[in-house]
Amino acid sequence: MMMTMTSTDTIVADYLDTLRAELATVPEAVANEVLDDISEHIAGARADLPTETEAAVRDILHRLGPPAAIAAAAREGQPVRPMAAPGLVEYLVFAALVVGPFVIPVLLPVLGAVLASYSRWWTRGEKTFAWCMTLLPLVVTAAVGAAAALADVYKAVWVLGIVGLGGITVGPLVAAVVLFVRLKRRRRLGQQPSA
Amino acid sequence: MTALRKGALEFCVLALLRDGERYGVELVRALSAVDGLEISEGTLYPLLSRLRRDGLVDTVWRESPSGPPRRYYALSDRGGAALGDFTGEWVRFRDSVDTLLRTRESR
Repeated sequence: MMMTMTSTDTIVADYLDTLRAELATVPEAVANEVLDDISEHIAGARADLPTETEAAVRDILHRLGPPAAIAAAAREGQPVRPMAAPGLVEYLVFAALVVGPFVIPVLLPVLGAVLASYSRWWTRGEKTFAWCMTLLPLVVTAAVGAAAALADVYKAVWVLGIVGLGGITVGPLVAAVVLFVRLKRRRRLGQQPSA
Repeated sequence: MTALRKGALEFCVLALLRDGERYGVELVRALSAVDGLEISEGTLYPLLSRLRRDGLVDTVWRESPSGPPRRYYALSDRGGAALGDFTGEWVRFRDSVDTLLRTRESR
């Protein structure tokens, strides 16, 4: 008994989650009203069942129809939520990652990575990538520099100069390019930044 | 055809409420069962919330013997007037369309 309760609850929760996601571009007041109405319908229809089975609950949802169709009906005649545009934070990220290394090396690109972490426009994976591209050159430079210094101090200066300057400027640049491409694609697809 | 169906749909809701209030689930089931309307139950809720906002229907919560309280829909005075206007226009519209269709068929 408890098992069926739990599984039907999950089916209903999944359905409502999908509907909530589909309603993302509908004005919030309207979206909330539709969600309340549909939740109410499901609760009422479930209470009307003589015995609750998984098939019966699936039938209730099937009759309600696909969440996308409900969202489309809610969107009709409604102003679409204005598309959010990237703001100051995102532009600062690009500036800090691309130009930053030439102005204040290390510090500005790190600041760019910090700002990127606060932006809603990028996923966690993309933020991690930006951090890696910013910090990895520093780690590699330090390691190679230390190893070279042990062998030959004069050579160490050269190695540090080439590996360090190269990595410290190219790393953040690669991060900026990837972040830019992802942001652009997200806007083209009309995706909103995540909440 | 879809536009025609959509336009008529809200008056079908009002017409179903003419004889008395109805519980939400019962109302959308009755509408989705109407032949030719071809709508799923869920897509009616955005319409119902629009009718509420426009004051064409009133809603009232009632306790139910089993389960959560239920929202009942009733025709408001404004809704009744809108339904009356539509009924008159619809009959004229339907007769005109029928006449045209029949003329074409008989040729």
